[in-house]
Amino acid sequence: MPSAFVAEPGSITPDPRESSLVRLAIDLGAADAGGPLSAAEARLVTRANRLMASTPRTRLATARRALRAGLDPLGDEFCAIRTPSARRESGAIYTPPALVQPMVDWVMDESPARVIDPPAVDVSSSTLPAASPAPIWWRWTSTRWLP
Amino acid sequence: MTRAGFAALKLPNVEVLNTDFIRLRSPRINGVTAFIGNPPYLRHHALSPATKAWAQKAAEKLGLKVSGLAGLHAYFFLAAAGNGRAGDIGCYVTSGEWLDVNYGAIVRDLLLDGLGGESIHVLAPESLPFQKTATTAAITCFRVKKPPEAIRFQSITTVADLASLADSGEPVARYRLLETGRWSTFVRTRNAIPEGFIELGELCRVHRGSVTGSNRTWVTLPGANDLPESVLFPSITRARELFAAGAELASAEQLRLVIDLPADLDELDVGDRKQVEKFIASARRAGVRKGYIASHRPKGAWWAIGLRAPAPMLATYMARRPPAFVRNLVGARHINIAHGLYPREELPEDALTKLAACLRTSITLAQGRTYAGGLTKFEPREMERLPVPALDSLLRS
Repeated sequence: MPSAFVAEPGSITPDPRESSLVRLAIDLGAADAGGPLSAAEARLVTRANRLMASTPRTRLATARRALRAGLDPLGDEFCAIRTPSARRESGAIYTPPALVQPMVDWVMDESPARVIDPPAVDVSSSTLPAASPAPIWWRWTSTRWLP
Repeated sequence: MTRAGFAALKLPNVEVLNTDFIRLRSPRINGVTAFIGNPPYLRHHALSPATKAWAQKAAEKLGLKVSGLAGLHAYFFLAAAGNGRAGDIGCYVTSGEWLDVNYGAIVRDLLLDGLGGESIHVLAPESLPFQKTATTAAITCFRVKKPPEAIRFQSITTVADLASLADSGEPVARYRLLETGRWSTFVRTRNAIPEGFIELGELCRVHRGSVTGSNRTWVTLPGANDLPESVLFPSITRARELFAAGAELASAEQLRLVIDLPADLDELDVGDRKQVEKFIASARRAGVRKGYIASHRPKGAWWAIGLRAPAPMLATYMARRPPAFVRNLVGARHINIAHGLYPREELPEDALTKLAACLRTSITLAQGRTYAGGLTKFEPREMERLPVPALDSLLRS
């Protein structure tokens, strides 16, 4: 993110669509999932809580339903906002489910105690292991748009 | 977004770390750790000196070397090798270029050593593995600290064909993998040379055309200067000239000329030498001598390009379509936008014509190496591996 950007009410990133996506992620519970937030993530959450209104209920419900159905609505929205060339600059090439599933199957057949998944942004229920006993799943994020 | 997904799915036992994977040390646990992912595709230009220094050290610790040209995806393999313990496993999907290029050696070395390569599943570019990106992709499975006796290779034409990674593919013995730095041939040659065919390399050597170092200086139009004819050579200087020629290059009229001066100017008669020296002086003033190619020419003869002898057959080597193979009936030279095919032994004209026709009609893009954007390249050694009819078939009238 450009260091000259100043957050304003309604927008905490230079692109208001990305701000809206961040707000949605927070309202889905991002701040309370996946362990402690990094300093950059915590700053983003603070700004969002201070400057942005909550996500409209219908948008929130739709996103939650889609995630539970195995879709990736946040990833799809991110890809619509960031052009392929912008994503290529950070090396971000998103992996289609048809590639992910055989990889997850191969890994989970070995019954790992821990899965390390670097770097990851999206998550889809269809690719994840069954509930318990579930291995510890670490995911490294690539969050270049965080301040 | 990752955290939001975990929250919506109410998944336990997940932790998101917003940090640099390659430098992270994961704490020891009881049980297997699995590495899974799609490492970012970043070329070496985008990597910081500190990141490259990390890679050098990490490779040294494992008794290996890493090229400064290696991309970030190679570093993820290194990080898994450094972080992993015996019995840990991994599965990465990356671009497939590391299979063949020099800077992919670190990945190949790791898979044959402590990273324990188990299988490599190569998706053809036409399968569009990454949403509208025509590039070769490779899913690599490995088992830490278990140097393999063999690695399985699987070629996948469509993503829908990608089923279980566990048993698919054909094993290639470790000693064969150690012999070569081009592993994609083990994917392609799963389709063995058919009966009655041989590799092109058994009939012909394939040579890349000469590099001028400055086409602006050394490629010219007829009548554009006073140089003697003896140093001006009609040449293929653009790939489209071969595409336009069809089956044979029958005229040199439309071709540009390459200025190929002798290294030893004493070979020229007095009048010609005067013209040539004038030209060399103007090229020197323009700084051509300082260019990388020019300054590395042997015996200080920076002006001598050293064109190869005319090739009986010429081929394009990089395009979004299969290569053009063209009989060179006018003895044109070629620069590095084309390959020249030189028979190892003299072949009759009609055998050469048949060979060219066969190459034109049977070679597909899948036999080359495709980069992001869909450009497919055939390096000389790869072109030599193309299947062609055996010699007796070509000689039959």
